[in-house]
Parts: sequence; structure tokens; C-alpha cells
Amino acid sequence: MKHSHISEAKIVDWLLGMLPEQEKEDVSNHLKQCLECQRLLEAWKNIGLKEEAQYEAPPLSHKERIWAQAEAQKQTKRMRRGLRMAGGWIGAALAVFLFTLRLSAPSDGPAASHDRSDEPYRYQIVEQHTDIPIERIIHNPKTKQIPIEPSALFQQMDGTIWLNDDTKEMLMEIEGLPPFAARDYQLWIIYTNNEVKGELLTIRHGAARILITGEDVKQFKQIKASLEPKGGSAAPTGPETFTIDLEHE
Amino acid sequence: MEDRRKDLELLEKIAEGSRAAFDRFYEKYAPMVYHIALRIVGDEVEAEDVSHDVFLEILQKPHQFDPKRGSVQAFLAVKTKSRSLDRLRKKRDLLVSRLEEAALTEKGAEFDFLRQLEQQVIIDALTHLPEEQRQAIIHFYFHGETQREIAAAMNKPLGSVKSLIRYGLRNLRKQKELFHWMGAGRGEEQHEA
Repeated sequence: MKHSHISEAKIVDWLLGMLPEQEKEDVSNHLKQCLECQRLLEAWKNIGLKEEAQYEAPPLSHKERIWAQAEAQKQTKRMRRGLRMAGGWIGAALAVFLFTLRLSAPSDGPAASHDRSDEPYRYQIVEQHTDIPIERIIHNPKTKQIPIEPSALFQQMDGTIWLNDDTKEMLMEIEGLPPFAARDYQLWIIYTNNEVKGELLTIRHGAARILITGEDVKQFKQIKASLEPKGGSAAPTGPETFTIDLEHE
Repeated sequence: MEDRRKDLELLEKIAEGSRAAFDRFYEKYAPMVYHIALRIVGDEVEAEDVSHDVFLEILQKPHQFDPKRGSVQAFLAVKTKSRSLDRLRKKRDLLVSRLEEAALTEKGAEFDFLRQLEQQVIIDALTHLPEEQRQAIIHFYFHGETQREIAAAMNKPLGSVKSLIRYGLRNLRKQKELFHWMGAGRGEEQHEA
């Protein structure tokens, strides 16, 4: 037989003495025989909800903040409406502008490119699993294998770095990294001249694999990782995941 | 009933944009909303945020309240509970912290509403505990089983189950330290937003 429960709002009203007599009696009768509704009632009682209760108020500025946010949201809505109306005109104007710009540009000019050779750091990063020649790197007799020792807060983490100065390659594998919605793991490369370069780590199912290749690999002194605000930081701020000193030949 | 009629009038005026009506409504109900949120999320700042969301929703959708379903108090209480549980679902650091507090008080009352969270959310929050510790904690605190029952189900001596729960709680504390450490920069992020 299907058993229907009382709505939670009605249970709260019963507890607060807000129900008319007949309804109050109906709820009381139901509560006597329904364990689930009794539990819900107990939960509300335990939370301290009762008739004539005096509760502590939130801070004074609270109300102002709510009102201010509601007003700001109204303003944004009004602006969006206005923008939608203006959107058609702006789009047309932008199209004309871009067309004119294209006509005025030299047709055989070089495409703008970012020349990495001008950068002080000369390395490349490969994060795609399929593009990393793992077997070749790991089984190269000149490759050094360095186990990663996690910091105290990340004991569940496990990882290895493979370093080869001849091929100028550093392969790193980590697993057991807890995911955090609002944080990113960031790798820190510390050079022999103590310069620091940060790289965000792509984590999939708690694991990361990264290959760094290039001249700079020979100048890596230390590799660190830390948890940073989403998008990464300019310098390490979050809890450290691990620190590894790299010994070159 | 008179009270309910007055509340409806206030909500009507709020819908028309009356600041005075909102002030009266807020002053009447904010302490209760804040109290419920605080008892569920267990953190003053988070409870303020939950209350903020509840009242913002009232300002944005004042016609959501249906007097046929109960009083404004009941409407706000159920909404606050729901928003508080949503917050625990979204913020694992908060949930871990809450689970630990609740587990340490060893009172069933603290778990009443936390038990309404989906099992998967709890499992996720405890994901970094070793499997057996996690199972022991879930059975003990969320399924309300005795340690003896858990021992039988897990086919382990009673002493081992007690240890699993103790170590589980210790690991939970470590995890909480980590989350708290990370939470240090949260104020700035909120400020920017």
C-alpha cells in the first residue's frame, strides 16, 4: 500500500504551532504512525526550531549587501536588455569595420607569430598521452629515474620523474591527486640560476603526465608542485604537493 | 492567519520594489533563516552566504511563496535547509569539516540533516580515506549501525572496526587541515567577485 507523507512545510508549521486545530490534529495522528515523518520532525527540533524562539540575527551589514546585490542585478538585466537591442546595429558596424580593416592590410605581409626563441625559457611541453614516447624515454640507459616523495598533506600521491640530459627530456607522471573544483595544480620549475617558471598541470582522474623537452631541461635544478587558485599563480602560494631536487650528470 | 496575510502583503510590496517592505520582512525572518543555516553548515560566514542567497531569491522571486502550502516561516525554513545542503554538496571543504564536527560530537542530532545528502556526496567527501575506514565511518554515522553490526558485516573483529573509525576520523582531520589551509585565500576571491 502506498504511504503518503506530510509535506515538510506542514511539519515545520506543526512544530511552530502555526496550523489550524483540525490540521494540527491530522498531522499529530499521522506522526504517531509514521516513523519517517517523526524523524524529519526530530531533525527540525534538533536544529532548534520552535515556537516563540529567539534567534541570533546575522550581522547588520548583511541586509544592505543583499539589497545592493539585488539592485546591481536589476541594473545588469536592464543593461543587457539595452545591449540586445543595440546588438544588431553594433554587429553590422563591426562587420563593416573588419571588412575595411582587411582591405587596408598588406596582402603578402607575414602572419603575426609568437617567436619562442626570444623567450628566456626554451622548452616545450607535451601533455597528450599519445604524443609521449614513454617506452623510449624510460628504457633509455641514460635516463635517470627519480621517485617523487609527496609532502605530508598529499601522502596518497605517487609519482616518478625520468630525466635524460642527453635527449634533453624530462618526463613526469603523478597519480592520486585529489581534485579541487576551485584550485589548479601548478608545476614550478626552478633553474640553476634560481629563476622560477610555473606551468599549470592538466589533471585527469587524479593523474597527470607531462613531458618537457628542450635545452633548458639541463638547467632544471628543482621541480615543485603546489595547489594554486584557479588559473595559477605568479609564484607558489598554496600547499606544496612535492619538491624534487634534480641531479644532472 | 492574520500574520500570513501580512506576510503576503509584504511580499506583494517587495515584488513592487519596496525597500521598506523588504526591511520589515528581513528583520522578521533573517534570525530564523540564519539560525537554520548555521546549524546545518556549521560556519558563520557560510551561514551568512546561505541566508544571503535565500533573501536574494525572495527579492527576485517574491511570488514563489504559495500560502496554500504553509506559512512563510515554513517556506523559508525548508528553502534554507535546501540551500544549506546544496552548499555542503558544492563545498567539499565545508562538508568534510561538518562531517568531522558531527562525528566527534557523537550525537545523532548533528547528523539528522547531513544524512539527507546523497550517499555519493558523502562518499566523495571521504574519498581520500582508505576504503575500509570510509566504509566503517559511513556505516557507523550514516547508516546508524552499531560497531558490532559493522564488525559482522565487514567480517572483522570489533577492535579492528573501532580502530578503523578512529583512524578514519584522524585522516578526516588531516584532510580538513588541508582544506582549511587552502581556504585561506577564499576571502580575496569573494572580494573580487
